[in-house]
Amino acid sequence: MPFDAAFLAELKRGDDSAVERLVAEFEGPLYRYFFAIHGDPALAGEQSADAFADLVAAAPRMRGGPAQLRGFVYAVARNVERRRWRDRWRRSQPLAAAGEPENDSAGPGHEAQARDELRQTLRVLGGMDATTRDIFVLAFVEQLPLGEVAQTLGLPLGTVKSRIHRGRQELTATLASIEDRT
Amino acid sequence: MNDSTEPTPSEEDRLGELLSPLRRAEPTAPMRRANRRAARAALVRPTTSSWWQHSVSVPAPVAALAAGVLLAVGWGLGAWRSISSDPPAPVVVEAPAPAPVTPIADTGAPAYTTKASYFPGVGFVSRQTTYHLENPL
Repeated sequence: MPFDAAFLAELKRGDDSAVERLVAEFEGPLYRYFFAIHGDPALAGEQSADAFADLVAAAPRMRGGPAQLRGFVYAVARNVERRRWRDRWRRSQPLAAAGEPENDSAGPGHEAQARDELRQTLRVLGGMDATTRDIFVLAFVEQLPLGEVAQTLGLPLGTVKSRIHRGRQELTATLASIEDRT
Repeated sequence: MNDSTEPTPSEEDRLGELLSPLRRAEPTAPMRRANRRAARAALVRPTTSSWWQHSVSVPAPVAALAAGVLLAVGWGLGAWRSISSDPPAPVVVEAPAPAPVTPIADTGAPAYTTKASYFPGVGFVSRQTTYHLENPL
């Protein structure tokens, strides 16, 4: 559902229902964003919570309109990730009951296969530079239109397209090497 | 836009298939609760910071002008200090000649004059007394 100016005004005022909607809209995407970076589900959960705390605190100072909200959310997420790099000596405290991400799996065999596929996906994404990975996550995991990906990441559309082109070539090479090994 | 950058449908499918496991990744229920707790805690926390933590945005020309004025004031202050801290010129005080000493019956008793340098606030820094024999033998 698109965000409107009234929602943004409520969010900036710290309205409970606006904050709840923000969390509901972005908790999945932010979790996947962080998870795609390092593949640690517990850490991705922690970082999502940190990102929401930062988002709510920073919302009153947000510039721009509703169209900039997604970009603002991912800018905060990138800051949270940068902070992890700065504080990487800090040990990750896994949340209780956090573990493998929830999949709509049917049985143990399917679960193992899904885990392998996920591991392969993460390995492929891990081989990309941060910007290309962000583009791939937004374009192919969150399935945002390329124009919105460009706006969210503050990149020219041409850059997004060329990164996707280059990323696809890298992906093909990585997949070929993975298939060779297996 | 170069057509070669557009993915073919089969490439698109392969990419979609490759990334679909990540698409299914969802935060667990405790993580969802933690997100809401964190957001609520940030709401409760006072967002007003102390005045010295506030920042203001100023247009660049105004900032440049203010910086120029500050530099000029600083330079002027420095110049004024260097002038005011120059040592004061010594004031030479000619001590009044003492009342003529009445010679005691041609004994050749000396008359004298005194020259002294006086710094305001410091006092006399040098004093020179010259004796004159009025009736040299």
